[in-house]
Amino acid sequence: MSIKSILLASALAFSTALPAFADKANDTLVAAFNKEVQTLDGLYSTSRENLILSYLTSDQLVEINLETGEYEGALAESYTWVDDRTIDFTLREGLTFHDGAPVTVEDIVYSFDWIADENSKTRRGAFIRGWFDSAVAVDDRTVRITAKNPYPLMLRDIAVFVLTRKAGSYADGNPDALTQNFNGTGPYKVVSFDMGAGVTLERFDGYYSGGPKAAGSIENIVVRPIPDWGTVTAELLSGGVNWSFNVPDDTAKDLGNLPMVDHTTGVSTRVSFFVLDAAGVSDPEGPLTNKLVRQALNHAVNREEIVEFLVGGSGRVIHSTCNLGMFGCDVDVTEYDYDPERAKALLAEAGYPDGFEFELTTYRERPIMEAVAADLAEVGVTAKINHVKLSALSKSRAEGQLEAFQNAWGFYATPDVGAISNYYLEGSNRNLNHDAEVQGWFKAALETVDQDERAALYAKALKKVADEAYLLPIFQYSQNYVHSVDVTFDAPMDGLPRLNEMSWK
Amino acid sequence: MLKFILKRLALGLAVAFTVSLATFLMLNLAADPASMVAGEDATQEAIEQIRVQYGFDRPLYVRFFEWIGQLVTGDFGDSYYWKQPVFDLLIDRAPVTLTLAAGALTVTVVLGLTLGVLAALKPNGWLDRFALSFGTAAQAVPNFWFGLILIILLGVTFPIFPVSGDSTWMHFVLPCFVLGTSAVPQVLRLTRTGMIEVLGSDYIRTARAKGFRPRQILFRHALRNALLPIVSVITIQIGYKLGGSVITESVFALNGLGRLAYESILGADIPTVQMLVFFFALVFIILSILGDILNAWLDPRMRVE
Repeated sequence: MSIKSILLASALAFSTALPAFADKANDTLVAAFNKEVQTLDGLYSTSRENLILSYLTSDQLVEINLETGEYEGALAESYTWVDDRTIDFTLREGLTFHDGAPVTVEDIVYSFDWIADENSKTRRGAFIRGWFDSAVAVDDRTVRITAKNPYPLMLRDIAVFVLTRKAGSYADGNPDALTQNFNGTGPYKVVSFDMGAGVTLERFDGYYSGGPKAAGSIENIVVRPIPDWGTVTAELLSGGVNWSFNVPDDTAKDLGNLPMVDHTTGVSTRVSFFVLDAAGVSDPEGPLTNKLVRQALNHAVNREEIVEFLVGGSGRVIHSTCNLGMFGCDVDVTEYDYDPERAKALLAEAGYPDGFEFELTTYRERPIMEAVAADLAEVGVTAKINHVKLSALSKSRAEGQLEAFQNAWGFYATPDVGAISNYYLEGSNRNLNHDAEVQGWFKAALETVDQDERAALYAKALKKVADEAYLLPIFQYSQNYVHSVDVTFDAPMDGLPRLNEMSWK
Repeated sequence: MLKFILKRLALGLAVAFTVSLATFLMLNLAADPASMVAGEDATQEAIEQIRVQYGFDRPLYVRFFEWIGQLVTGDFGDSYYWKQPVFDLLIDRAPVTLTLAAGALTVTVVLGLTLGVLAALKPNGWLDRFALSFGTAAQAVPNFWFGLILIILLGVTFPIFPVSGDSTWMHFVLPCFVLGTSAVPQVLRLTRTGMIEVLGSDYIRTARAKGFRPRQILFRHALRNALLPIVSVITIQIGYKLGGSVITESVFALNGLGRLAYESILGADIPTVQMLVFFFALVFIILSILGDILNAWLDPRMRVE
């Protein structure tokens, strides 16, 4: 074989082996996820990656309008409150699943019943079982959903947790039926799914128009799991990837300086805070049972600097455990500004002039936790950081062993303070204040559908939580996105990116 | 010899049992497995439901011996995270890791032997210095860093190879090079030392005196003898290549057993992690036994010891 023929054969082999690139010419957007998608069925995973995918492939009866905070009909053309625990939904005409089958009221009833059934073991069932009573077909376009008691978050729960499935999808009660082969109603349908290699989606041309969710603009979306940020960076630079999310702040900033990459920041619904053992669950005589001590800790932490230097992006300081714009997020609460001298004075008044030592159990953002500990040390309080896995923290919390613990709550990406109730309700091991008034207000707010009354109850509760310094709120997370400059992308207000709204420039 | 083999096998079984017990205890005692599976924002009800669903509410020893029982009967259990039988996952992902390991081993052997022989031809010469410097650098550089440098150089600046994925043979070139290079120094030094010793021996001098050509002396007489200790090192390297695939597969987004382990750990998928640790341990144990047997076969003194 001559040298020339060897070179020709090598060139041919190289050219056939090179992968296809993601670009406008192929009308294919490649999205890099840091974690793998382990199932196509959003009912069986609540990971952020799966929420993004489910938004593309599944629909619900209603969808929240992020601008107004109102719930608008999605698969439902309209809905009517029959009474304070019953809603009638009227389906749009001409709806179809990806396989061409029509969407019927029987499918809606089936979806509710399946999710609520304990034996179905969905990851969403626990959220609706507490209130869901029945789903009944009234006529061939109307379905009636009834709650056991008046429940204000019915629409929220329906919009977030009740993904529509075709009747009989889980044949023989098999919860894994849609793990690999998915049939939904969303603006994109699944073409292929190779666990580990990713998911290929194609725009669903039969998607209904006039709904709140945008029909896809880009023909194909390929989701690729790439665990290493260095590799994602290289793929963005070489044109192998168009979009990624959850990017570390420094990486996102560096990428944003490159001419072929845009960096966009947006808020996340997730907030970071510490729960302080005010009720003395771990130690009835512990220093954190003293209100003055808790207030001192709140004054001792320099939230502004933490947000500016360690959170970055669109992160912001919080004084209450909720997001601005969220229903019930009354921000008119006591704010503990950074004042170490005031903190020392409060500690002295509480009988701890030389400070004290306590264990702070954390599981996220170690550098931030170290910064908090350093701030506390400045006023004489030694916070022994016990940085563990979340599961270890949960175990200790369930056993009532924690003096103080970090939490990062995502509100299931829903704009309602009710989604964080389990830090305030009786019987929850996340509640370390055991304040009967706060418990009562939150309970009452979850049992009334009168929005004004709910808002007033949340306001009272959050105000008292701040006054008593039951928590130590720190910051709201920032979300970093990077994308190639040839695609449009707007950071979402609720932290849930919607790839169906992206288009080529 | 038979007694020696049986003794090694018994030792291997004891190690396998210990590894599986340690893995099981670490995964189940260090944290609440139900919370791990349920995730960050899970409600207490969801956590309790998972505890019952996956049997975490049963005593630890019952679960351990149940797992051992399943293992003996060839039932690897089902993955919580991937919703598939663990056996199917292993079978599905193994080809990528085996391809990577085979490619990396080829890189190790070819580079290690070539540089080792070249270095031995003229000890302390410039080629020897170069080979030893290369070996030192290859040993010092971390895999993930070297991988990223190669990606930037040959995937972005000069886009010859794809950056990540495993759909074509081209995708394996960079990861095989990265994984293979890290073991080159070991083979290089052994080859160099062995060759220098053999090339200075009487029978080589005799061969030279008899007028054999240098190439004949080098490959037919010297290298064959110098290779013997390297064989057992290479056997063990196969195990290291499989184990080392965790980082390399993550950097290059290869869909193999290493990345399965990485994702399963993050996803708190106890059955899959348990089985992967057991599998990797078993590979090491088998290769160690093979290495011992090989050495004993080559050197009868070891059998007596």
